[in-house]
Amino acid sequence: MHAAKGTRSAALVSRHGPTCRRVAQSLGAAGVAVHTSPFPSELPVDNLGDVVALLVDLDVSPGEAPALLVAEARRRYADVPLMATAGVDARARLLDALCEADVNHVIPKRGALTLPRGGMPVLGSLEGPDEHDLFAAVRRLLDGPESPGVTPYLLAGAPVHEVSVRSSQDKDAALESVVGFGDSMGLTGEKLRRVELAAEELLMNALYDAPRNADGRARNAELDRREPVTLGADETVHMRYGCDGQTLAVAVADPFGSLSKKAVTDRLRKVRDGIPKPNAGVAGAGLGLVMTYSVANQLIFAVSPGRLTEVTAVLHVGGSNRAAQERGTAVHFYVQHSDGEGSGGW
Amino acid sequence: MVQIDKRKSPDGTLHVTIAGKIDERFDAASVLHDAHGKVVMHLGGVRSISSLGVRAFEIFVQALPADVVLVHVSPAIASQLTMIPNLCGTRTTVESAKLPFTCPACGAEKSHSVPFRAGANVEHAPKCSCGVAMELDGLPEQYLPM
Repeated sequence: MHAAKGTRSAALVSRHGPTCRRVAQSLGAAGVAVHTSPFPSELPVDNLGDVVALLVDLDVSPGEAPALLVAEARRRYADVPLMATAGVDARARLLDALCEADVNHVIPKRGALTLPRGGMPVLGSLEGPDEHDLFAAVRRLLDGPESPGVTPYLLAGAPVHEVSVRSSQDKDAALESVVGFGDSMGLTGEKLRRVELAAEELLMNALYDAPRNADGRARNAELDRREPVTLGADETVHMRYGCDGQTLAVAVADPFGSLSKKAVTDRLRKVRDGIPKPNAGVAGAGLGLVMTYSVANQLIFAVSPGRLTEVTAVLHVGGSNRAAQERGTAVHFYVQHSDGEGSGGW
Repeated sequence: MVQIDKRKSPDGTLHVTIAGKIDERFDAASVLHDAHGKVVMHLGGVRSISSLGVRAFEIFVQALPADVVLVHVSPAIASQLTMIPNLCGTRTTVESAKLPFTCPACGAEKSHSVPFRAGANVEHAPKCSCGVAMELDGLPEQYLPM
């Protein structure tokens, strides 16, 4: 197939009907034409115009290591952002793709976490990846990884609240404000706990793990978290949050830009491999990120090294707690320049 | 803010009720001071626990001098116990979890304690007032061992 000059395209490897439809519709709505192939080896390499994303459905070969599958697709498109989706053993395989390959976006298929364990997976019972998640991800790829806060993840017109945080005391007040917001919407029990947990872990990361000295070394990472900290006037952390009735999103942005994908994947491997024991030390260990991953439906990291880190947690609060958990967790990593090796906390 | 209440039973067992939020400020020194034997901890009122609270709680439980039994653990605690199976060490038994249930027929919601073991959400599901067995409002593997 030939694409007109200037056409934005994406290549998809999938033979799962619902996935093909959802990807085509979501990306089509974002102005991106999708070209689908059933196997990585059959991906077209020419005449697709400006290819903005490469999506690999790991279910095309459930027995194959995700890293091998995406590597085959990657050979065809060297520098295109890589996304993966999966339904079979989705959590583990998507984390594999994120941690062991150069995949920066993983989106579970709807219904993946309700598949019976063991036996032959019934892919016909699965839906494709979440269409709003796909749409927002591609829009951000097109628009750049600046700091849009929660706006891309909420329905248009949803009010967004902003709180500035420079100290541990501010953190407590910010947390009170987001919990009060959830409370005012009638969120209770597990829904409110998920919101509070995500906001708290993002704020603690921004205050203690993210700050850097002039020489780039972590400034507060070794501090006892009971010890209050105060950031400089030009180091203010901004928390933005909002809800459209179905989805609640919290974004925390710091001006350090110290988080790397490696720091994130080092922590997320613990989700995949299990946590034998929390680190008995005062900090580190990455439990905060693991816990945030376990309560969020999307975790979005946007990093401009040395300048900005924004981490956004998106939580579905409209349906039941079970419905939210069944959606699993998508992870997106946007980095403006080449990925550094800094730990960036978490 | 966390609230801690203590009561000693005639057999010397210390019953501790912890409620509220466990975070980096969690301080249970008064429990450690009074605990000389078995401790039964009622955790149904713990609405939230942060990552630093998990560490503080781990250190606290492991500093207790004898066997520990956790009862009616809240979803916040249950989800950590399933994620980190060795969180409380080998001298700790988790007896029950107080989890959210919903009625598939009428939508009623309630918290209900079930044994902390695989399948307990079905075997010990509460009956709704409309007569239908309620269902766990969450994925079982989030709150119970598999």
